[in-house]
This record gives sequence, C-alpha cells and structure tokens, in this order.
Amino acid sequence: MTPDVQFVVLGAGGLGCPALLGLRAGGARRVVVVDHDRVERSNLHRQVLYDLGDVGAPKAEVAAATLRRAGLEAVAHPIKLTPEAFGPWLSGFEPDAIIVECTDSPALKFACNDACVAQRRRLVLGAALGLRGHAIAVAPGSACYRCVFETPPPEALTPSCAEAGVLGSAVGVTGFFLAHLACALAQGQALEAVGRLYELSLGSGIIRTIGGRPRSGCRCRAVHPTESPVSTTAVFT
Amino acid sequence: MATVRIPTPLRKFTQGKDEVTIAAASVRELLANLEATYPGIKERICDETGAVRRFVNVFVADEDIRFLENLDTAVKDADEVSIVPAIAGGR
Repeated sequence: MTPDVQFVVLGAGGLGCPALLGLRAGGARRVVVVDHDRVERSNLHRQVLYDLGDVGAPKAEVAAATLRRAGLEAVAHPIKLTPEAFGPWLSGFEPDAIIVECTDSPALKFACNDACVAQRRRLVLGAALGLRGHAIAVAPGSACYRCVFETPPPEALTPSCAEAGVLGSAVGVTGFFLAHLACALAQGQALEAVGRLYELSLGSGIIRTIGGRPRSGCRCRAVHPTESPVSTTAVFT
Repeated sequence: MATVRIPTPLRKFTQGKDEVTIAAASVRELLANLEATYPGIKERICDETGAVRRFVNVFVADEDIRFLENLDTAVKDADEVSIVPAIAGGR
C-alpha cells in the first residue's frame, strides 16, 4: 500500500487519466487533480476517466468526482497553469507531495522541473507522442529533466499529437508507467530509477533507460551542489 | 555501418523508416552522411553552428555523447546511434 502521500497530478488528459487510474491501482489515497480544460467528445477514447455524459464539464472536477466515488480523497483545481506563476503556486502544497506532470506543454514541463528542483520536491514527469513515451522520476540530489534535455523544444519544431499522431493505448501505457514511478517513489522503492529517462518505444516493445548522471552545468547542480548522484546500477530489480 | 534509430518526428525525412544504416567514424561524420542520404534531417538535430540542439540528445551505444567526446565521439560499425528529442504530447 502506498503511504499517505499527497499526489498532485498536473493535466487530466490522455496521460493524466491513466496516471490517475494507476495511482488508484497503486493504493494512493490523496490526490489533487489540476486541469483547466473541459471534456471533449473527440478525446474520450484515450481520456478514459470520462464518458459522453461528461462532455463540456471541467476535467478536473469530473476526474476528482470519479476518484472520490472509488474512495479516494480527491480535490479538483480547475485552473490554468502558467510557467511564470508555477513556482509560487506549487509552494502551497505539502512539502512531501509527489508531483506528477502530465500536461502537453513543453514550457510547463521545464518550469515544473525547475520548481520541483528548487523546492526539493519529488517529481514524475512524462510525455507521449506517436508510439513513444518518455517518463522520468526526479528526487532531491538526482539528475533532473534538464540534465537530459537542456531546454524545451521550440513550438515550431514540436509536432503536436494531431500532426504526428498518437495511439491512445500508448499514452495509456505511459500514464500508467508514470503512476508506477510515483507510487514507487512514495514507497521508497524507486531510488535506483530516479534521474533516468525511460523511453518507451511501444512500436518495437523496447524500454530503454537514458542518462541517470547529473549533467555538469545543469541548474540542479547549483541547487544541490554537495549531494552525490544516486546509484545508477540496476533498476527495478 | 552503424544503425541509427530515427524518432517519430524525423521519420518524414527517412521515408517512414525507424532505423537506417549509415557508415561513419564519428558522430559528426554520421550526421553529415545522414543529411547526404536524407536531406533536411540534420537541421532538425543540429543548430546553425553545427552543435546538437539543446532539446535533442544523441546516444552512441546508450551513452550520451555529451558525456563522451560530443560530436567527435567515435562510432563503430556495430554501434547503435539513437537520436532522442524531447517530446511534449499527452493531451
């Protein structure tokens, strides 16, 4: 059973819905759902917490209500997050909360990484496109998302799901994997997984791990200059 | 020849292939030869100075070239070279 940790899930769409279900499966008891968007009919196949009766309703409210019916303590924050205001907003949550980043905004992902590093928070961050998913867990002292990717890609070079395509089940696997990492972090079982980027190549069925070492010059090293990197040996043994 | 794994956003340059083989002795040469075979792909990986873009990582045999010799990292025939750009989808 996952300890009584608060999970703050940013984004309740294609990644966030399976992540929330995965947290429920992992035994999470307290969840905050953050999303400013409303349920759309065209996304229902992959946004699996919603049905036709929810079209037009705020995703955060519907998702939280669904989780409450399953016995979780779930709170909705139907607000629009911005990179500029992210850090101060995040500081209002419990210090040991685990942040699960599931938005589709490159700028927000990096702002979330930076705020979590600065506030010494545990973070799980992911993305999915086509048949590929990325997932990384970050904890104080570990390599962070910026150790792997130094800057967000410019929008002009970032294909959207509409352009590159996305398979709902691939997003679902990635979202559930994020929840798995978050639950493992909560249980203290993911120490060897933090700081590594997992690349899920769901066309070939290959899961690769990338990185694991803090990058010299990364801003997380300025925040944690004296901390040793975590072990980079076996993962999920 | 080294095997180069092509990420989804760049497959439009490789006629949809997710893997191609390229002969090269270094990452720098590999990227030049990749461009010669699949025009247009290099500018998605490298900036105008020729450096690998900061939101893209290149791995040789699962080692980040930034921790090796960067563009001068040696490439052997049996190596697998992965190009991994940041992605942001998930809505």
